[in-house]
Amino acid sequence: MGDPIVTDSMLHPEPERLDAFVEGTLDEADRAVVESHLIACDQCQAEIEETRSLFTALAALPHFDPSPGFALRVMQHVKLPDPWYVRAGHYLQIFIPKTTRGWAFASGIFALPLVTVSAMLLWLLSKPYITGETLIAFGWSRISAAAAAAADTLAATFIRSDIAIMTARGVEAAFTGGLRGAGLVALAFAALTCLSTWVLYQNLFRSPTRRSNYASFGI
Amino acid sequence: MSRQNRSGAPEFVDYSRLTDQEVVVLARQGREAAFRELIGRYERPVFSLIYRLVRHREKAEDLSQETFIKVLNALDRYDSSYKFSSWIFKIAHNTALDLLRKKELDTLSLDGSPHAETQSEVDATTVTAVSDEESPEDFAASRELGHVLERAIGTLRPEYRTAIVLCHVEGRPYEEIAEIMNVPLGTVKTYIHRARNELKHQLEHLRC
Repeated sequence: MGDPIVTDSMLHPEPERLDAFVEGTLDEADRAVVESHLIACDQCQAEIEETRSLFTALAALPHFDPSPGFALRVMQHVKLPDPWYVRAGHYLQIFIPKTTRGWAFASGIFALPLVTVSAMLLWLLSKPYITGETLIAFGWSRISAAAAAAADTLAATFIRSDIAIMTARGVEAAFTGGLRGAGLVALAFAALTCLSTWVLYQNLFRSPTRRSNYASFGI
Repeated sequence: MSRQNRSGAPEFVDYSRLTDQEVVVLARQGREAAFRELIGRYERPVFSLIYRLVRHREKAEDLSQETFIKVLNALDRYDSSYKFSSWIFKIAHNTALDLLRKKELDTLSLDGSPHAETQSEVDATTVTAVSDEESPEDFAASRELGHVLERAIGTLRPEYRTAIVLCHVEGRPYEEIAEIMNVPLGTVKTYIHRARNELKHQLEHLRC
């Protein structure tokens, strides 16, 4: 007699595949092969049941609690990061000279533009066709032109802004609503002024409690 | 939810809606409430993992505390492209393993440390699983099974213990466990398979 014929369904799946079957991580084809094997194999069925029981028991294991006050004990040893402005202050300190030579060097760096501009002015004034008056007139005309351009830009931005629209509506309401409308506008203006003053006071002038009592509307 | 940050300004942040990564960002800004949130989320999983590894309550407390201090003081070095849970579990695992290597606590007996000299020390080193979500009847049965299972887990090699706890108690995927334990994926599968076999073998008498 020859060896008995061994079919796929008679071969036991590897234990890892049975685990994967219970975990549900087998692909569809592999799952079908294992399922067809399980129909005829009591041994593998028992193995599957045993694995399922183990999984259930393991999943039911509880978490343990550390003793009360754990978070507090941890926080006593945790160094909270400084706020951004304190860190910025630390970074800026790098640039502050520590020695006399450092201060001298820094002063030299800062004086350099002044010296350069002064030298340029002297050079210009040494020319026979340039006088002090023409130089001042030239500088003034350039500054005036730049200031006019900036004012135009600001005015255009303001006219298109919500503040201008709201102000215009307020004025319109004051005119159309008579005395009552004007009173309401004045009241709103006074309230906004008070709010602004309070925010300024909280943030700038309450120095003794400034570190711990910012006025804040942030989330 | 209104809390105070370090500068005293009120915060209106519902931390329970934030992901770990988002809470870390707030903690890096110096918000104490964010630190407390991270502790609240992970104190039980981390303590449970370490307790099951070292099987000594006081040591587990110390190591858990050490883990959190390491993690929270190094938040600026945390790479947010990785899961925060992987990072904290990795540090917890390494911290516990360091102690096991030094003290050889993994050779503790199932019912308490062999070094325990008083009953209170024995109690402190005995792992008991208790769940308060069951009826008294269920409780008696589950405590028996849970107790036996905890004892069986205690006999496993530390790496098997970590792998099986992370897989079945914490529900972490194999890939994350490999990252936490710093071993290849295939090694994690082998650890878990062998651990399951050992546990089945030790639980056999309960089925008889």
